[in-house]
Amino acid sequence: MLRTPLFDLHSELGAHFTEFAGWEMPLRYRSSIKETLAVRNCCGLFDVSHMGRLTIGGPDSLKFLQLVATNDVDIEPGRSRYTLILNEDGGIKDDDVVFRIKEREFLMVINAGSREKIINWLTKVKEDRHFDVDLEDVTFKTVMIAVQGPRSTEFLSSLLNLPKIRRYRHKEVNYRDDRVLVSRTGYTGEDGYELIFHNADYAEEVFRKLANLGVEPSGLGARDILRLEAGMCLYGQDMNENTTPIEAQLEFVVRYDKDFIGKEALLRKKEEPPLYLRAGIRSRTRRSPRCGSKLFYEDEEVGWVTSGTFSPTVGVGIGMGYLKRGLSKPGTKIKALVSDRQIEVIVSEMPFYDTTIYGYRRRVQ
Amino acid sequence: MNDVPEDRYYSKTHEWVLPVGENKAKVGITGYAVEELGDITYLEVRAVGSEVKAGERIGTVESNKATEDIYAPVSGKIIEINKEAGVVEEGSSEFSGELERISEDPYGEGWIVVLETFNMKEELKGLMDAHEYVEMLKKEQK
Repeated sequence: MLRTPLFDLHSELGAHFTEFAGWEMPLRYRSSIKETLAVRNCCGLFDVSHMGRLTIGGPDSLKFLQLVATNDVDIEPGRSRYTLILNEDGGIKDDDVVFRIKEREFLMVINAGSREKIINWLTKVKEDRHFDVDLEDVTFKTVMIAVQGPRSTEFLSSLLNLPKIRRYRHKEVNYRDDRVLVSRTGYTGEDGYELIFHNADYAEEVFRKLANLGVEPSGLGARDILRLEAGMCLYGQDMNENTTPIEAQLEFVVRYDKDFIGKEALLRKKEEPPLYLRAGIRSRTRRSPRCGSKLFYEDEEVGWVTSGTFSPTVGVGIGMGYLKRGLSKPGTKIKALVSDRQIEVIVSEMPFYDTTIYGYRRRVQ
Repeated sequence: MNDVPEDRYYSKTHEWVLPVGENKAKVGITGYAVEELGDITYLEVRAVGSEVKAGERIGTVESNKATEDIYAPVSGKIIEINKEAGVVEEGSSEFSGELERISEDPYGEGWIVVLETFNMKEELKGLMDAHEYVEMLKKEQK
């Protein structure tokens, strides 16, 4: 199994490990629920070095990325954008964040489980269409940590000379003799930063110092709860190569006014409305819907759950899944079958938490 | 795994049973089960007065990771449930929110139910002692 350069530090901090996409990663240090609440209310700290990091450079880099990404990545250097990569049939190959570093230099952060697949795909597109681009997998040359939560600016500022960075923007920041890419992004719904170090020792030092300051080291357990509370998809679980952006309700990152791989298939599919659409559901109690649970409206089977857990922020079970089109009105009463027993759930808007109190859009206190 | 108490018996499905009288036993889930579950978020059992046979579902435990059934290690009638530890009766909407007790002290304060047993002496023969249970865990982890 692969390990990140921070593995020994995680052991020292008491992490329980789990296998994820071939990596041995912290699942939790003490409690996933406490870690989740620390991120929502204060600040948490994640090693996300397992995520794939690719650099894309060269004269054709923009043209190349515009063809593989559904979103418009012709953005100013210093900005980043969430996008999908589709196959020729309009199915989702991965969801990613593209950073424009310089005019002809991009960084793409991809799902750990999709890294090899996406590298192969990009290499194939590059070769088939003779693009003059340089692709490099820098996953093993860099360390990526995420500092997430309403107090993340305050904590990070005490360790490095943090300039003002707006959401979905990034800057290079000096830390000792390293140039660290600091990005105001994350996968928790909260305000926060993701930092990419070249020097693993410095990454470890920053991680340790933040933990010593009281920032909660948090594992994949908390990360999964946080992203689900925020209504964010997990690739491979909530969507895959057979899911279109239409079904996954991710069309907001599809730009039909440009050419991209999968566009034709997607336009054909748009002629017929989809049978199922991704929707959020919430339980009336602490009982949670679970991945694989079937959904029923009255006695009719109307969909299935792809992610489900207990939300410590909301205090009830939450989930997302695919529901027959027409039933996605918030408040619609449905039932989820969890190990032969029914639990009552209602269709819910996402994020599941009150966005005036939690999340990066919260009112400043 | 080293702190599996030797005063009780264990099932393959990771429940423990501790005789507390001739026909009375406490039941809970093991430290290993608690480790595997992560944070326990909900635990319900069949109503006080319900009769269960050994191996039958006695309740359900939920965590941030999974929903798992809990099985009766011996047959009996549920005469008490550990409400202080946040255990609730099936179908009720009450919740006391102290489930940390089960995670933190699964063999002590975190017991789940007390059974009035029917045939405990015989049924205990079909369960494992602490030593056998630890051996089983070692095999499972290989």
